[in-house]
Amino acid sequence: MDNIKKSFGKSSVLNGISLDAQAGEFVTLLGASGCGKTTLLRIIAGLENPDSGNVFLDGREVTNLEPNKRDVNTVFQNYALFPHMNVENNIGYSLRLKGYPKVEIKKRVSEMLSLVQLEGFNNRTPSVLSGGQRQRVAIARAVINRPRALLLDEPLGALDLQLRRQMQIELKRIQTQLGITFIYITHDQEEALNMSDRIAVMRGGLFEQIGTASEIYDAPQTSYVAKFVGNANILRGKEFRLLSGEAYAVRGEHIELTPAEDGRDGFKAVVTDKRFAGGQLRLSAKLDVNGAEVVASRQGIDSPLKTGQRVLVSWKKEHEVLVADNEE
Amino acid sequence: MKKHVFLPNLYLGLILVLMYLPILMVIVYSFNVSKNSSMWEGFTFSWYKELFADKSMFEALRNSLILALLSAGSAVVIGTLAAVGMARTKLRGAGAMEYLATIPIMAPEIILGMVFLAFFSLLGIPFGMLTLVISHTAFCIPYVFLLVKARLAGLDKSYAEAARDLGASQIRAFLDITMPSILPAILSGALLAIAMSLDDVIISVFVTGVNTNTLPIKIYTQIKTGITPKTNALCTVLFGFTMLLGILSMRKSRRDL
Amino acid sequence: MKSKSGAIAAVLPMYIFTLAFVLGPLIYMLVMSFLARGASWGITTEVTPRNYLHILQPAYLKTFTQSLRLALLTTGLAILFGYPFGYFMARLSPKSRDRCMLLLIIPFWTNSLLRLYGWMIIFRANGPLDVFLMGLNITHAPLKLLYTYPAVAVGMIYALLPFMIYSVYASAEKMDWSLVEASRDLGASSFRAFLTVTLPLTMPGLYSGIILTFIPSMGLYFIADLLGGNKIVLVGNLIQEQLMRVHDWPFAAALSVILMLMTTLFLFVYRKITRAVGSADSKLEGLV
Repeated sequence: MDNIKKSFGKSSVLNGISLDAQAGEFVTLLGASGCGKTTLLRIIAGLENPDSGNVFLDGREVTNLEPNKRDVNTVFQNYALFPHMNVENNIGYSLRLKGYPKVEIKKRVSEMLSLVQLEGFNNRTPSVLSGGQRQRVAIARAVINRPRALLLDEPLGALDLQLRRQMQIELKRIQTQLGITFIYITHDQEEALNMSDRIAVMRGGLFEQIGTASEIYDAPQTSYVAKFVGNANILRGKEFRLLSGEAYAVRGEHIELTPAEDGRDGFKAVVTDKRFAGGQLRLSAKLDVNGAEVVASRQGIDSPLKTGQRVLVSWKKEHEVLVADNEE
Repeated sequence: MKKHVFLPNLYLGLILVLMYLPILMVIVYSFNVSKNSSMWEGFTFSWYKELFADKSMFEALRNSLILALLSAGSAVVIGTLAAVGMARTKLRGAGAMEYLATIPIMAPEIILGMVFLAFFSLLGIPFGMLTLVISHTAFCIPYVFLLVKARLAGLDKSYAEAARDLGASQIRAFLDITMPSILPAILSGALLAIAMSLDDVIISVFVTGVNTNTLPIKIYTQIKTGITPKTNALCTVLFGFTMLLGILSMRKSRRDL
Repeated sequence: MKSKSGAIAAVLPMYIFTLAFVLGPLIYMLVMSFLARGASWGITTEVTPRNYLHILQPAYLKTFTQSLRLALLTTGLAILFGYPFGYFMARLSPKSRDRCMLLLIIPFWTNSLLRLYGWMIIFRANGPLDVFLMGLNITHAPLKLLYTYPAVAVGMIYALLPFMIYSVYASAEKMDWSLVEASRDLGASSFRAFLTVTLPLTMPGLYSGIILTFIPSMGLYFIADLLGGNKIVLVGNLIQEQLMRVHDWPFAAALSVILMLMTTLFLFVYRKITRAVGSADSKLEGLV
């Protein structure tokens, strides 16, 4: 993809985006809702035309090619399983369009059903399937053609947490097994970090940073990325000897809170909140120097520190990452 | 909340009885021996015999059926295409056009009759089946158009997109995916259009020619000239048809669910 | 998607048809309403406001007021009889609801002339109604109801009641009855609950019912013609008479223009009201 731009009416959604996905790679577009990731996906699929820029597939330009002429398939957000066709006809739809013989279609459909572990579901209609099963049928339908790339638009969004975790593993397995390029859209950083070879963090129609999971997590380049992926604390201002436009990103698990009496090095602060969330204890503290709030996360369910207690906030030098400050 | 069901049910029943009362009267008197009196003077089939011997009656029936099928048919094609086209792209002036196109079912029928009469004589189109079909098509289009449009609005766009994504051309995606989902709407639009066409007398009276009688026109003139059991017999036969149609369409819609 | 040409080709037939056979005739009607009539037949090219001034004659004005009065009466009675029906019907079990719907659809699908004819039989002198009433000793002589105002009113209500019922039923059926239960739970009497919850929520159905009964009732001239004889003259009858018997087409056109304007005005007010009601709806949702 090269320098894609798109706007709807007056609001510009994509502002010049370029990305090069390798064959067999799992690339995730990560971003908050409204950042333009779905539009980008629809442009790759051919369901939308860019105002400018080009889309290439295997070196061939496909920018203005009809969606049915592209070797790219999509798993839609709501799965878009045809309600009036059973599972077999849904999965076999693209082969029927190509005029494959019935026996061949049946064989390939069963292969696909076993790939997604739904053997024997041939004659059910989408309406009787569970969310997870629909998801699997949608994947099977999209990969039966062995596309060069599979586009997935928040495919796990409608599933509950446990199923989501399970499907992450499943998706990764299918991808490795088929060796197809996956372009995966999500707003969930955990999904992105778990599955992707590379992650592209999107914001306001632009890529904020592209890199492997560990590059994104450990070496964020901007405060937005640091905050969006892993909820890092962003510290800015001259109190930390930073210029404007610079900030430190420090992850919650690296923040130390010690009682003020300990007399260690650190910033004086007061504990403002103590919460147990997502399997972690989160302690918020307000710094005396500039009133900024930092959040420290801990394993375990409680801590001897109390709300209102005076504390010292510190972190190791190697855990602070200098990032460009691009937020308010 | 299920306490007071007796009075409401009584009310529903009473209104329904009143709805059927006139129809019942027509049927009962179609078997009456007496021609002019409203007194019951005995049971007879003779009015039916007379009815089936009347050739002009069958001609009117044939005209009505041809008219209904032609105008509902054109309305289905024109209305469905327009609804699909409008759903696909936002066209300039679509709103105004939609308003104009639905005037024929919004305005009092007498106005339609009047304007068609005037307009056709201005253009010099001879009054007869052609003028009937044009004017019936005009008031049949909105039924099809509005029903299909509503169905399309409730339709998830991603189904057609998925089909395109899987390799279907635009036309193929329409035939495979969109068509099956709007088919019930097209069918009920067509049925409604046929019913309206078969029922119309006001507009038909104005735009028909001297030699083209439709069944409603025939009934209208008969009723105007006086009440005879032969008309009753005709109406009874017609009612039988309606019952049949209604039950068939009911069956069908139940299967669609 | 790529080009609009497909969509344009698809809407083209309706555009052409509508412009040629809806807009065209309407414009012609408007033009004709300002022309003078020919000596015995047809029209001349002389432009004149005569036709509109003609309407101001007391006899014709009376026709308009009579039409409006009948339309209002019809609509009012349709609400009175139709609203409870739609409401009660929505409260039936799904199975009885289906059955009730079928029972309603059959007369609705039945040719309207046939049903009118039934009323003619009932109302005629010494007809079933007279026999019934005299048999019960309620009346002692034939009422001779056929060709009277009440007969026309009955015919109108009868023809239009189903529209009111459907509209009310459609919105009552969609209503969330737990809202009524909630208001009862909060201490409202069943009457209060009806007034404060059910009625506002079924208002859209009531409005569309009013539209569907009021507008046609201005034009159903053949009901007045068949059940009212020549005694009840409505705008519709006047137009028909001018067209078919008097052959004053420009005057008929002017009458139609006025009727059309009244209808449009009514529709316009209706749109305004439903929009206001729509916003009230969403406000209510916000509160719940």
